[in-house]
Amino acid sequence: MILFENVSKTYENGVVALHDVDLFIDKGEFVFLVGSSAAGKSTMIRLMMKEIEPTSGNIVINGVDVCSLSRREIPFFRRTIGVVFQDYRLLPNKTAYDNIAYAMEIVGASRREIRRQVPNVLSMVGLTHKANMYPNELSGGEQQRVSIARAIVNNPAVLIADEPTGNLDPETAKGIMELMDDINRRGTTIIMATHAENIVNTMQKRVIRVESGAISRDDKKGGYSYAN
Amino acid sequence: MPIRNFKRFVSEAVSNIFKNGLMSIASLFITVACLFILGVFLVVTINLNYISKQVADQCQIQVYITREASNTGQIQNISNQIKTIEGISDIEFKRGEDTFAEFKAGLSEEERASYNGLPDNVIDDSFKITLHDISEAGAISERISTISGVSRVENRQDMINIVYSITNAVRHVSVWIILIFMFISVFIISNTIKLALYARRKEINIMKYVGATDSFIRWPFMIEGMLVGIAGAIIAYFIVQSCYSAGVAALNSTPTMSLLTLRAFGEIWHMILIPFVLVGVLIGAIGSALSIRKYLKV
Repeated sequence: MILFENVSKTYENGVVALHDVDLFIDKGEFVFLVGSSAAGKSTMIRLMMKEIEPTSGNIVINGVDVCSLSRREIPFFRRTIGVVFQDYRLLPNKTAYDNIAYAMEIVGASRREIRRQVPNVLSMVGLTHKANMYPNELSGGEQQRVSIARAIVNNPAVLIADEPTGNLDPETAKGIMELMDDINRRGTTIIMATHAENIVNTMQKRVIRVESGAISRDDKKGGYSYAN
Repeated sequence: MPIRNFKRFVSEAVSNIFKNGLMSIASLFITVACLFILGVFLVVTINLNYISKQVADQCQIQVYITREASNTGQIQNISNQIKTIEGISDIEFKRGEDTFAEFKAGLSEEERASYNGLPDNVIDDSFKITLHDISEAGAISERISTISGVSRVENRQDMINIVYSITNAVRHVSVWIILIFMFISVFIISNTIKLALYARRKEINIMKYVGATDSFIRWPFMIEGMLVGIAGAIIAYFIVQSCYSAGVAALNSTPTMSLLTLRAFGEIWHMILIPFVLVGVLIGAIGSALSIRKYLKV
């Protein structure tokens, strides 16, 4: 469950990124965030990760008032959210397996839990045979699958994806979207920022369009470019 | 910190040392260089203390008594009077003949020949007095010289003063130099680590995004720094050892060093190794902790 209440964000250089945004995303939803590059999508995602603070307004995620979190509480809050980036952001020194295991080590999982759970998610993303390869030995699509596996290994209630298919060819992107849909069907709320028109159109999910810092459109089963 | 985490941090640190080989080597070299210079000052200070102690031990006052006093049996009387003076630890009577014989024994055959014509009692009887504190040598000499029957008092106060002021000065200076050097080392090493971390800032960023706590990220880096510090300490120790042994061998073969001895490395190795390891671990840990702070603020 994600709630934005009158959220505004003005950056220190005076740029107004978000203006009075209200938003409610229910548990188990799959939501596309669309809009042009400087529209405010990234700001919304960074606010949800508590990378930045809103200038005013409230943000509640999974029942946690994000704004009132102290610095010490941030890591524990982030563990309840899975996050996937356009540039994968895998640890270059670690194999696919170890990258996923790292997310579990952080939360203090035992060796046994790790040995059971990591192969599970690896097989879910279809990379069991590449477990011991390093990120630079994997293709873009494979790296993104590893990063998705890392994001969901601790069973987060929410998965945030910032243009996860941005660097991938359409065929690979399609595979990633099938994976995301699969994860969503298991009950994880997914918020995905994207520019990929065809993906949004084929998936037929809720689409939220952000334009110059405000939500301009919110369609339950929408397409990328609404007929207007 | 749970044991499971500790094991993980150590293995993480070890694998990072090798995966960031070039930066590890750079940090290692700087640690070795800093510790080597620290070692030079340590060695100099240790030996100066040792030398000044030798000088102090050699410091005795020589009291000659008049021949008249010797002949009239006042020796015991003079000795008693000297003993009442405070600050004297030992007094030893020496007959003039013995002093002369000892002196001649230290000479070569030819040199000795030129003294052969002299009578055995050419040197007066004397007392050799050892003091508790050589800085009182001047005052005590003066008091002894007022005792009747004493012809003259010899002390090497001038030489003692010179040696003392030099060793004191060097001791003070080297404490400061060691402190300044440790400060510089931490600075250089933390900068080197900062460079290493700059290359790895993305990595730290990712860890923060996945929800790692600051200490969970910091520990492997700190252990990495400490391990490099220990390795640097051991390398620097062996370099200092070989330089020291070679240096002592060279110095001992020069004539000026025949009066004084330097400490053998076997006696002082722990005074080098222990501070090296401590300082190495400390600058590694502090350097890492200082430099990582900036990157943790995500």
